[in-house]
Amino acid sequence: MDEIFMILTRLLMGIGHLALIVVAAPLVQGLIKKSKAFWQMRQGPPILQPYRDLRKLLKKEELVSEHASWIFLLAPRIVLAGTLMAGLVIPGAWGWAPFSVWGDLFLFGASLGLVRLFLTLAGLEGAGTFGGMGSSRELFIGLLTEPALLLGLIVLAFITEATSLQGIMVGLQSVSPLDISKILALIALGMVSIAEMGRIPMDNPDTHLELTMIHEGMLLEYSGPSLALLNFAEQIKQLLLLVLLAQIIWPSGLISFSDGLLGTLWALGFIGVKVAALGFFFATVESLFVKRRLFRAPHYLATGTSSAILALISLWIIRGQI
Amino acid sequence: MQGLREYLQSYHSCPDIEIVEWEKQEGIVDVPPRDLPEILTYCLAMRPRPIWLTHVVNDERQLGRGFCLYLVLHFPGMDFSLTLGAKGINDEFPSLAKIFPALNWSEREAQDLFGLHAVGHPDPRSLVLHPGWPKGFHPLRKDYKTGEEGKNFKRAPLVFPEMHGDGIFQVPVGPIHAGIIEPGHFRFYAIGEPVLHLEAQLFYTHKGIEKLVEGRSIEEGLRIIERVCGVCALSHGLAYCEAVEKLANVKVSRSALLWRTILAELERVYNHIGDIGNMCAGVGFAIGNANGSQSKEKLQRLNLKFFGHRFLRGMVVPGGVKSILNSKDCQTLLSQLLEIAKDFEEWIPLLLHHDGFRQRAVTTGVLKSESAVDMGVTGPAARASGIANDWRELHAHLLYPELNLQSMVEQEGDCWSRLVVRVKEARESFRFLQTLLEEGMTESEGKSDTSNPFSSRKLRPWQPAWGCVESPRGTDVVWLMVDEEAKIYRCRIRSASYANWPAVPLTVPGNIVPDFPLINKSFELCYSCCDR
Repeated sequence: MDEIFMILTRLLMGIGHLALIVVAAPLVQGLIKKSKAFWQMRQGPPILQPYRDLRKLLKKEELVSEHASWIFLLAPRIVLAGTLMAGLVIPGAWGWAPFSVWGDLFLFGASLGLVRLFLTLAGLEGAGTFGGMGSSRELFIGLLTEPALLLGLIVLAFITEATSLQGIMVGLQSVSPLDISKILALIALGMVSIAEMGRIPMDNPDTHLELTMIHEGMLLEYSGPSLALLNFAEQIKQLLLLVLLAQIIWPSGLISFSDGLLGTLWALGFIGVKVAALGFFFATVESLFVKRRLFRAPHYLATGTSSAILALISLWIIRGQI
Repeated sequence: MQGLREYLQSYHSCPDIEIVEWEKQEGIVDVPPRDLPEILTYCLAMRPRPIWLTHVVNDERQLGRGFCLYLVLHFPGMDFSLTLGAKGINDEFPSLAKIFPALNWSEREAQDLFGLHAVGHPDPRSLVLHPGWPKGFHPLRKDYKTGEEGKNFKRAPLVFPEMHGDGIFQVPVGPIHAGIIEPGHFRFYAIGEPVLHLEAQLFYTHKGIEKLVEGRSIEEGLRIIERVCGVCALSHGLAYCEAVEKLANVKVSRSALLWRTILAELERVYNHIGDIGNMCAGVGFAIGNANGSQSKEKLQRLNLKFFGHRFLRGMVVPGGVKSILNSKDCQTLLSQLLEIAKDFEEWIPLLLHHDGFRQRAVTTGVLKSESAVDMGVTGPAARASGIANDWRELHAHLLYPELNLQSMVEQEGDCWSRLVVRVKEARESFRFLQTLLEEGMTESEGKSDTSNPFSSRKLRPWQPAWGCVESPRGTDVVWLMVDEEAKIYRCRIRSASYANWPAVPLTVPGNIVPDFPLINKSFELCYSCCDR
């Protein structure tokens, strides 16, 4: 009986974890847009606008190109599912992730890889040139971001001697904030996150210039509910990366219900503040920099990868072993 | 211009050359069509090399002259403009595009709209008329009656050159774009990201304005010409008025000239600052774009407040200006302008010292100086390629000679140079505006000379006349001929965008596809006044 109760609690907590991510993702998008508007001396759209946009898109008619195959409609669903899957291994407000035992950083990387695979396929589906260009550029960028992302996380895994992201976050609590390998890994993850979120200097989410698009180019043929799903998946991915970075910078550790209602609410508020601060930071970066020339992207991403490698080397030197 | 005159007088093969008019600054010479290539070759060999102002074909069959071709050249340094008129063309004229590639589009347009044949044209594809218009549709012929043309149009796919080879693919872009911009179709031939070749198909916004104004009165014509596009509205109107004044032999008062200069500079400054902001959008630099848009909006609101129109439409009339500001308004306008200028100086270093921006713009989209000369490029695009081509400096008109204006020249010809030229010119314009408005303040005291000498004058019929203004995009030329009743017989608008568009595709090969928007924005050409 106890076992069933345990499973039920875990299930409920898992659903709650996902629900929180799903609800918060458009809000974070709204916050980032508002921050960018602040730098541009504009009023900007209301913070709740992303929710309204999603609702609008869900109601709209969907047009499917006559050249498209079944992948075209399947892709948005898989993209959303894959992003949520990644969400299951990211520790949330209370430092707890539903898949903490058998879900590790590799599951995170693999889910994002699956999302990328289907996004690029979807870009090719409409038989339009912008989709194809977007897909080819996305793979080009992905080729450079994925190693840096995984390597950065692996360094953290070595530092904390755990491969599940929950374990890493808990372990990081006892690591000094000035630990050199941690800082280097953080730089790598931060730089890669910008590319993964499709933001300047790698990609421009606000552009209307179809020739320069990467992520938006792949979505150009989509409309209605499928577009809503894809946009939503992108917002969730952005939130996940921000939470991941926030938890690395200020790990808050495991918080259970034994800390009382106030403690749990406090933890929720704290992660909210952390994510908002990071969101504002990335919005500032996006406002101050320009989009790089596409063939300069490797230079930027190589900096990310090399700082991940340096993190690994510094760890090796400091500890004498890995 | 003695050498030229003697050359034309003693032109060996042919006694038909007739010097119709030869004054200090302007000459009109009738030459037989077959001698055009040789005379043009001679003119182009002169130094400094002449620039083209406009190329007009006119249906003068009613007058017994057949089709006529007018080519207006300007000889910089001597400030002399020569109109070569070739009369009596029946169905073909010798193409000059091989001698002077700048005339490429004009000749193709003449083939389309007049049904004449440009003999020896290297690229005789149709330009203005898209596939789908019926054969024999030549709307600018006088015997073509408008009204029913839409019925005969059949939709047909555009035709582009084929290109074959391993890994070459075509990227069709437009005419409908992801943003709200004017329509144009671009066909990129690319291997991966680098572009091999670019074909531009414009004229989606062809409105038949040159046919529309025929038979209208001068005032109606002005209202239409000012609405050819929304970037150089004042320049178009001013060029048109200059042409009308030439036909009426009217001398414009100094006060009107002063206000015309002020208006022209106001137009330049709001366009330049808007264009600088737009270039930031091309590289995704949101802060620069926001600053540019904000300053442009402020300037346009000043236009609205003091002159009644955001694009300054309706201010210039033949013979003068509609109204002038009183001394107090001058003072307010000047102080607000200076504020905007100060703000501009505050945010412009953000761009000029931005490494990322420089990195995107330097060496991108290079327009070689030779190409710019050959293609007859004008405006900031030409000046950024090292050509000191500024109509305000080349030709003594308005109050520019008193302002000691100098062309702002950059040498590299890339996007960055075009940006820097605009920045420098915007600064200069603010400076000129200060001088001019200070004069305006003293001038508008006392005598208000708004009497217009134009209204009672008679226009010279069947005479060619041109007016020319340096718009923010380059030199705008309006060519005009009226009939006995002072109705417009033919009006040709050669906008700066029309002169510059053919050069844009030349700058793209060698760059990568995602850099095209930046290159395009660095020219910032207008589709509407190119297509007309």
